Amino acid sequence: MRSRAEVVVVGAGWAGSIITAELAAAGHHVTVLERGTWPAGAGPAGFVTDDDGRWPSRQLTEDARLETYTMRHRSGQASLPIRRLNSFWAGSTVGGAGAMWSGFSPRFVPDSFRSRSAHVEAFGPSILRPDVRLVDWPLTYADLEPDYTRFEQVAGVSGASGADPFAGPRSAPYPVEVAPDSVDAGPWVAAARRHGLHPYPRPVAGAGVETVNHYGLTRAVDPVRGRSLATPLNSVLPYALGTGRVDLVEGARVRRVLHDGRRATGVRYVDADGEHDLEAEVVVLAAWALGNTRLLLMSDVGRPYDPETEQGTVGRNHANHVGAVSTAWFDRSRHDSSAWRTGAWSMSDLAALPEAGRPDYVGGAHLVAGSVGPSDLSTDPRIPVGSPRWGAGLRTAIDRYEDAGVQVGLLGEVVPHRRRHLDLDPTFRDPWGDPLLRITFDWDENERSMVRSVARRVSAVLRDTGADLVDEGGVLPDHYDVGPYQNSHATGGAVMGTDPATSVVDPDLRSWDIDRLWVVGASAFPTAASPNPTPTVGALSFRASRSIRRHLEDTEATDPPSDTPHRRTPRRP
Amino acid sequence: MTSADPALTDSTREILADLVDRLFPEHDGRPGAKDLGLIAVVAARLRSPGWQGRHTYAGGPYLPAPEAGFGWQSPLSPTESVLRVARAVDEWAVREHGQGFVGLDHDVQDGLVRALEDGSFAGLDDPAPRQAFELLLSLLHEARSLSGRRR
Repeated sequence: MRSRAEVVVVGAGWAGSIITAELAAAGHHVTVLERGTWPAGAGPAGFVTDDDGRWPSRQLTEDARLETYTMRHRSGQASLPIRRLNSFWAGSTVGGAGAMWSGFSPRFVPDSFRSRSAHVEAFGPSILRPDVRLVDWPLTYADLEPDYTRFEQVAGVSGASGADPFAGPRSAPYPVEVAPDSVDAGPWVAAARRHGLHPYPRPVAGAGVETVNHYGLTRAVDPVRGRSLATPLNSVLPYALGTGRVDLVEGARVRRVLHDGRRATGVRYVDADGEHDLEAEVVVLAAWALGNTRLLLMSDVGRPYDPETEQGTVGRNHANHVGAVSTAWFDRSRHDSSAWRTGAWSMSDLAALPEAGRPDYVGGAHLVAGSVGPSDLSTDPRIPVGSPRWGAGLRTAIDRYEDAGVQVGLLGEVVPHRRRHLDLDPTFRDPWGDPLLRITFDWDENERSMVRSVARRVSAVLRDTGADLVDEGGVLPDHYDVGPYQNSHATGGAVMGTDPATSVVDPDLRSWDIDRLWVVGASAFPTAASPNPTPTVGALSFRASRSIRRHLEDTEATDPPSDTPHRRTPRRP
Repeated sequence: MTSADPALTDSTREILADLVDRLFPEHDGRPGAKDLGLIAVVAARLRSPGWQGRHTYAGGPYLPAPEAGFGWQSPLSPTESVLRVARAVDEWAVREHGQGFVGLDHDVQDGLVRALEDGSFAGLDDPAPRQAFELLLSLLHEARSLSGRRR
């Protein structure tokens, strides 16, 4: 029976795996507690599919019977459980959400790290609505750049270095370079350039060629998808386990961080044999944004955030991404397929700030474009909005338009709002009797304005492609809907900062309140920014691992004498 | 959440085959859902863990959603809901037309589908008619997707 660990890491997704590998490489012993097991069928290509070939395999997503969340759109409204997890997915296996992510790997642009300052400089303070809590990160793009490079090298990101004029400086090219003219542009890329946008090939953590990363791990090409997908399973964990200093405990569900009010002393978890306490010198929470926040709240670490007084820290700045799609359709009886055949392109023109002028929203909008095609996330036919939904009309629409389109998707930053937050649900519980995490979240006027504005902008481009029809999109439903899949980009809840009154962790992701505790992942994002979050999660994980190493090397397991309540002095990164 | 009997009776299977066929009918001389054999895939989907509600949180209390956006809140599984739809549709056919749903003229069957879509069908409470329509449409699209998305 395990009773003591040097370092215990909760969760074996990207964050937990990177920290584990880096600490093990430095000679430390790490016990990883993961609620799931190693997914069946995981191989060097990375895509784990169901028996019928569908990706991601259902085994990768959390079973709502074991853990789900409750939702309400606003304070005062009764919450209801999300009985079927579909609008976002939590990982449920070794590899976590990193076993089923898309692989899309844009870095944040430099102004994403100074969102509040950049908006105020560009548009004046009146741009900020009263309830919006836009903040700057406690670190800069330059601070994180070396760790972005480390993540890209681990994940074998393919992209076109220098093709995005809005990107920050790079210390190294992408591990797999893509020539922009090798990516199918169709008529859309030329139209985008005519309209002042700057498309570049979308960076992806997966290449069309076999790659070996700096841990010496090989990723193969999936023959069906024509590329690999980097995951913790094929890119990090085999190396970590190979050091002989990592104990990966599968089927271990952590319920509490144990602490004495001053410092973390271990964790309590349940497995098939019952409940166990595991002592540790260092505790690392790497259980996804929502899981980290729930564990802190259940463990009485830090002060829960109160949206009325805006006091407290745990649960604040919960954010996400808002998605919207504009599509150009080409009647296949009048166009050949070259009209709608376009590779995957991104645009950072609006990634941190709205365009100059008098914008009616704040936040970034990351744009992605490509051909319409079969989706892994929905089986609905891809046909124009407003087409008949059944009968002969449906068949006619399918005949003419199915998949014959170019779409521009918006990944929009949901900016922090004082009333969007996370806390523990007073009613609904999991099978172990612990409260579910309650999400208070709905679309605000800022998201509606962003979606409307960006849809108008990109639809003008789409109309210039010669398409027969353009679905502008640009209208959000009345409320956030837990039904259709949207994205799994939850952020915040345990945000980083330089002030313990408004943040849970310092710029190294170390808890302000409880010593020897690090809380790693998108939970630490003060703002969601607009690009996909995983590369930034990976970069922060490298950063946190160095902080943990410093702690272990400084203390050499010697307890610092202290008889006063612990609270560290803020320091700049 | 109770577990639905995964076995479809022959009569229920025929009702669902007709319903899905009206959603995706024969067109321009090309086969509809029935002749494409999609009902076999529909039946398989109804036996799948997701449709059987095996990954659904079942903690109480079950409460009505205050507004749109709260997703699935029924104690029934999606499969149980579909079986209810099939029963309700057949009872309606007997009541209104003196015979079961299978075998009714296509125009009459289409009228029933329209009543589900616009919510005017009176014979269903849980699932509501519009939800019943969405469930049937989801079954069609899943079956078509798994069958190669033939046009």
